[in-house]
Amino acid sequence: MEGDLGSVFKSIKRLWHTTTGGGLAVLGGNDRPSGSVQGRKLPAAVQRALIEESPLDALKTGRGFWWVTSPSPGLLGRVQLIAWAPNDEGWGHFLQTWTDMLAFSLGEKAVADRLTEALVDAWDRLTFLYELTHIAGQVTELPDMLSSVVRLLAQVVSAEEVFLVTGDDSGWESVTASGDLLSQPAALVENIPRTGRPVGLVEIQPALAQAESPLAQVGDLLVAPLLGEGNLSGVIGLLDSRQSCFDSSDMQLLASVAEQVGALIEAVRARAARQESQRLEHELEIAAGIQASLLPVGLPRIAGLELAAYLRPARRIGGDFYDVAEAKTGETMLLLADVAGKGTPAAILTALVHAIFHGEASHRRDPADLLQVINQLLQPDLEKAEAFVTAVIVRLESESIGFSYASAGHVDAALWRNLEQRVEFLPATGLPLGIDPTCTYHSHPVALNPGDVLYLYSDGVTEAENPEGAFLGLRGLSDIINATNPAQVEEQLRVIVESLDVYRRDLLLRDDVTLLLVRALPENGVSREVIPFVIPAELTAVSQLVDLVRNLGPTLPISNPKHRRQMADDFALALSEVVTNQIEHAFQGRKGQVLGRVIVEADQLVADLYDSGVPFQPSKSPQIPVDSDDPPERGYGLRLVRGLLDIFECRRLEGERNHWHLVKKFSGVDKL
Amino acid sequence: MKIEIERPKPGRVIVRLQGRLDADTAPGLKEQLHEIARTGAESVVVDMQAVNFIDSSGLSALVSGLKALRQQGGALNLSQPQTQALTALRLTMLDRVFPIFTSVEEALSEGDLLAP
Repeated sequence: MEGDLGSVFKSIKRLWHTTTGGGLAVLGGNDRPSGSVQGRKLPAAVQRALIEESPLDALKTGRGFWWVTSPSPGLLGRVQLIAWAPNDEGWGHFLQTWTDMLAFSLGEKAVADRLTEALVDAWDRLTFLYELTHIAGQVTELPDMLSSVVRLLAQVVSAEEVFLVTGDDSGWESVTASGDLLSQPAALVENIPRTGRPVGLVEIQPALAQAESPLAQVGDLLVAPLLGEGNLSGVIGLLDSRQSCFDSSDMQLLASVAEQVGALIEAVRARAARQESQRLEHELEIAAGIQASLLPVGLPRIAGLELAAYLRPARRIGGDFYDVAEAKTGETMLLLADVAGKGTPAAILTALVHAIFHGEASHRRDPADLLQVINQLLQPDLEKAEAFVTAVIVRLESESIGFSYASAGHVDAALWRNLEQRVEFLPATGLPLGIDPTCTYHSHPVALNPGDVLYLYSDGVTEAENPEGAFLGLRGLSDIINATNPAQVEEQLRVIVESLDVYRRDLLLRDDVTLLLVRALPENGVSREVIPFVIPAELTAVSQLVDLVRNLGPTLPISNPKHRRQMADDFALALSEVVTNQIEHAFQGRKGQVLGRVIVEADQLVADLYDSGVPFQPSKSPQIPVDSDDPPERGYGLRLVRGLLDIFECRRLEGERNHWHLVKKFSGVDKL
Repeated sequence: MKIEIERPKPGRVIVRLQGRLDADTAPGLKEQLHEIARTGAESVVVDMQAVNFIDSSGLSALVSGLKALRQQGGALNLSQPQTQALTALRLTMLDRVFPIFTSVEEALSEGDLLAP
């Protein structure tokens, strides 16, 4: 008898040593601690736990980790395990299980003479738990791992069937040791308490009967939930046709197995998710590469026109592109398209549209005709991909300044009318490509006058979203266009893109942003430089404007360098006063942006500012001289603005906007 | 804006400013000047040599500091304002309110002369 126990204890020590690299001592019955474990002196807390017969979960010492475990209350025998390991790898729960099982076996002996059988059984189960840790280290595929687990478990328990149910809310599947399918696996998952402990037949039978599960009719059943970080990933259990055939040691073992398997499933799933996201990332990189490679290298130079383009892909959605093709007759065809979808499928569609556009543009003059052909040729591919494409095609005339356009469900193009100083929108002239193969498109001719600007863009512009959830919209785009004109297209492009950033504030780009601008050059005569700008409506941002204007100093058409600097400084101060006033009063603490432009003319500096704040009401009272004994603390802003500027006006625009107009003439200084 | 405070002798305070004195930074200066007034300084010199930009908010902060000091029987002098600041002071007629000196030493000795 003693010999049997001794050999089991030795095996446990060996097992512990191979698993953890540490040492272990077993104290059974009324043995007293020896004061050391395999030559290691026991730390004081371990000694105390042994004397008080209380468990000690883990004690971190300079040399590693120590555990003392003692039997759970209610079991008959008494066994204490004292263990040491160099690292804490979560071995504690093994020790507890082993202790409980050893104690249980000892207790069984006291009731019936089944010690050898019980110990062999205990040993088998210990080996099983050990093997389980190996499965965890080796198996990469979840189904393989799960069938290994049920097969192994079936070897060490006395049960007709061992089963495991895994899946998620979209469906549950069973794995069994016998290979038979478990009927209604979902009923088990839905009715298991998520406490983490196994439940017996008595507890779960009413729910199973309610669900009309055949498992309600079995002789005995033990089920444990598989939990990983709180999520229920399935159940593991034993079933038998004999009544009351599972005991507390089976329950003990199942609890331990369920805990490990739950953690394993979680780990395998996390790894799979990581791999999937890496794969997707890679695919997106390829798609982004395709998208970028199809963009034209440069834009054509066309007499009387100025062109500029911009594309900024978002991380997750990528289907925007623009393209340029020259017709044999000398006209230039522009295309801006947005392929619905992302990743490789969108990139392939992009490549197809690109190919058809280039193939057909050389011999078709009509944008509507081109759209129609692309729609017909793309139909099968778009249908297969369940995707659609919105596109706008523009033909720039060679003989006159103007263009004709056709739009397949694309967001309205914008047109700046310089003479009227307002924005028009050009609506779609047909359905998106891929909706209806028989769709007829129409082209519309549009005349361009000097200073007019055509803006082709994708919905990433008008659907730029601010943190309050509002889209920029056509109205917001109009405001920007209104402020950036009559700057050169490159400058306008820069400010439109900056405006989108200011508008989004901290929000990430959610959709591609693509813009293609065509400007009819103004007639020669007035020489001037227009610098559009946008800043967030925050006091900290005003200095950007001050710097912008002061940096203009050296370029002003004034002969004396000192006067140049003085002129720029004065204008910067006036502008700063107006913008600070805008931010403090017009916005009243709300978020927003200040849009505007600075214009350098031959004989003056001009600035126009736009905001959507409350109306400005300057005090009409004449400026009284400052009393030097009792100077006022406020009100210097308006004095400065009036003293520095030749013209200072604010007018209310439609749409509850303010337009501020500032002029400082180069009078009193020598002009170049 | 950087604000450095120096106390060369009892009752004398030098406030050295560096950078922009605008709506964003003026509240900080105003608070500092009021704090100095509370501790009972006789003469404060604001060294403007390194102020590259001042706007009406900056002027307001200086006026507010001046009034707080005057209430305590103190004075506030400006030293070496640069061209941009001089323009702002002149246009607001505050050049007639603040005694303006060409060096901190001069502004300080002026304080000595005025001191009882």
